Amino acid sequence: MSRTVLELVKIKITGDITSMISFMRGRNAKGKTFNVGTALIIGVIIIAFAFMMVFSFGMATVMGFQMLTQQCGWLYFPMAFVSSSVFSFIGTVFAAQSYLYDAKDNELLLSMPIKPSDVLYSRMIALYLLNFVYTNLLFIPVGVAHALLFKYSVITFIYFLLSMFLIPLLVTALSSIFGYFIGRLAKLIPNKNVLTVIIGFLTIGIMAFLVINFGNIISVLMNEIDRVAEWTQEHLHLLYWYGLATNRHYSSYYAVSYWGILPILALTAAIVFAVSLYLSRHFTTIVTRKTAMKKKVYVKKPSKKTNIQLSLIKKEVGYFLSMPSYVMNAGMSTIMAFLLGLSILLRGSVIVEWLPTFFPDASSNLIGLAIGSTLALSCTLNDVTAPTISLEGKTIWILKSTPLNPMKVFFAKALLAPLVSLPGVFFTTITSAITLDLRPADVVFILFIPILACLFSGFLGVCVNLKLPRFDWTNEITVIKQSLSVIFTLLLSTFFTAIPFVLAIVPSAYLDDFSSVWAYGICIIYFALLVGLELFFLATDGKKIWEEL
Amino acid sequence: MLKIEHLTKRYGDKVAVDDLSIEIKSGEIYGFIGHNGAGKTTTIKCSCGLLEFEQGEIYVDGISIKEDPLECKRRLSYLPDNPDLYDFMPGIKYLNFVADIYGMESDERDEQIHKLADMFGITKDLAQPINSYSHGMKQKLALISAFMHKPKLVLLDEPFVGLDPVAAHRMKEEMKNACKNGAAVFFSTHVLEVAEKLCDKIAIISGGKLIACGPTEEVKGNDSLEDVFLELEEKNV
Repeated sequence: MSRTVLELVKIKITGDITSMISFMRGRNAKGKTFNVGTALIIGVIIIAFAFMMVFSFGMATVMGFQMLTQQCGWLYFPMAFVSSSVFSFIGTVFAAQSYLYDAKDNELLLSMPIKPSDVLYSRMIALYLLNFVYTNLLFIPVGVAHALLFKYSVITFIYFLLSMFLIPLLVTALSSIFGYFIGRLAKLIPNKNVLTVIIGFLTIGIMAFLVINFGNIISVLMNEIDRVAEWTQEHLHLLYWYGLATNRHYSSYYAVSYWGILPILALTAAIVFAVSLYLSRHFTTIVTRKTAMKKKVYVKKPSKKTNIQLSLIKKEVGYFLSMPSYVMNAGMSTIMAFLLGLSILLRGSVIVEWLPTFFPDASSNLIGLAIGSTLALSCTLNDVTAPTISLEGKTIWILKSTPLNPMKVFFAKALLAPLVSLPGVFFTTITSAITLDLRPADVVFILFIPILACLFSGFLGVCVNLKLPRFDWTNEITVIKQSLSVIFTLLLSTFFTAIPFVLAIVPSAYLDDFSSVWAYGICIIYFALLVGLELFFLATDGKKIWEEL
Repeated sequence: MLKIEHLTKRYGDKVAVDDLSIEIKSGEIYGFIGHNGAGKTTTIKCSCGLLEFEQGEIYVDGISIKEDPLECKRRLSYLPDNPDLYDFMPGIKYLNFVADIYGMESDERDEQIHKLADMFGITKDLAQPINSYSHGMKQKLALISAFMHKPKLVLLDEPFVGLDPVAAHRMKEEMKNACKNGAAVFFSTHVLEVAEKLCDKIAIISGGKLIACGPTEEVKGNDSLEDVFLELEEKNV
């Protein structure tokens, strides 16, 4: 490997880590670091990593035990190979696009006396390291569980170590070529934003389906493990040999039990070689290719004067819709609201039957409260306003140098939250009104309380982002997904939204004459008060912070 | 139209602008010259209310920027040295957005947008999203947005950067037109030839301090502006 490649890898890794640490270190409007936030983010990351590893260990133990019982222990590592490859591939396939082909310094590096293949290899190595982390979050616990369950052998240990490095290599090659084809496909489609959002939501949908049905999938696998083994043995020879090599005592053939890993190793090497060769030959063309876009010609026509507030809202909506990652991140609440509406339409009677088991005395009063609160809580997942000040970035001069009252800017940003959630809220209100036997007060509550909760979380996002703005981003995704402002807003809005519902629902279980209309009134006053407090903050401190930005 | 009195702006311990006073009257084109980091951008940003300052006062059309920034901003327009615009918007939407902020009526904005876009030769591109524009086209669009609402004071930071010769010529004409109609133009530049030919008055800043100001002819005397600038810079160092 040339020194240039190593140097480029070093720059990429250092840059990524510095940027990650910089964003993890919360910073307020005056640039002071915010250690509580840093600790919070590090804590969340550690918990997520630990959860993944413990979960993987638990699954591996259960599956391994079943395989031992069914005399097909050789299937243990092939299954781990496939599952960690799939997990790693899903985790990094979109990163491949940005790491390899959309990197902002590609053109700069290609203009220097550096071989294009060196630039590509440095990117692939960085992607490999990312895959290494993803793969081994699953694979290391699998190895530990294996050591506890199966007969220990030095060869198995060596092959386990080899697999730790081999799997990310295979995934890197596959995600690199897949990312390339996705990029080419996206360039052929006129409105790639819509395509990206559809693909994104489909991926989320598939993952949600897998998570919801995880128990069923595992139980089918456990019950049918002998058939899975049989099928693998018959159709996937490379994985079968790999399994025999990593669990030697299942084969009496010396060649297979010792060298069974070689075919999968050779296949990986061949794929990596072919992908690297193809991409390195075409790298310059790939990263500099521009598709001719059909040019829209402006035709002079009379324009319409719009109210400033409306104009600002339109600007916010336009920005939101222009970024698929933003839509996918914040649009989750709308999807969840739609799912809730759909489930009420299809299975509304289940809710009516289910409530009395928990709240026998007040169940008829609680339907509206239960649906409204669930809808309001799902709306708090809408963190659309939390990065909105940071997203102004280098364009902030436009709003700040023009005669705009900052409150108008804050309002436009905050209103984005209810606007994004409205379609889902309307849908659920309509399906609830059609399917369930609701009183007018219930319908009004189901419609208005989520909107109020959205308004609260929308203003909260603006307030938090004013306190923790970041303008040093190079890619919008960093502020949309990783910024402290987003994490704080999500936690705080969920917490504050849950309070009135918990307080309203719990006493209803014990009070015979509980009237949900009272609870509705209290919830509305509660959210109105919170919004009032937020507006007070924005009109006083918020304005000052805005002027200092 | 713009009165800067004893302006001092610090970034931490560093004094970026030190006790600077300038007055720009209606109908004047005022050039602001200085080396990189001299304090030009800071002065302009303070003048349009983008930066707060510790000492001094700035008046736009007799109104204090500290006391009534919104009223001042209604009278001025500002253009930074590298104007980042809303890339997701088509050019025409951006111009309409700015027109809405300044409360321009439909007829007036149509007339201004079409006149200025024709002048800079970007009318046909107005339907395209800004992210498809070249640097020069973005600069032209930003200039249209700065002039279309007929501000009384135009503050421009390095306005000629990225403009082709034809566009630069047309911009100079627009600056003169604005001044004929009673506006004042205050702009920073490194292009001394432009400043020498275009400006009624010139101010030279070095290390945050004003080292020369006045009518162009008085500042440069019989020498070229370049010679005067280099000499003053040398003395100041």
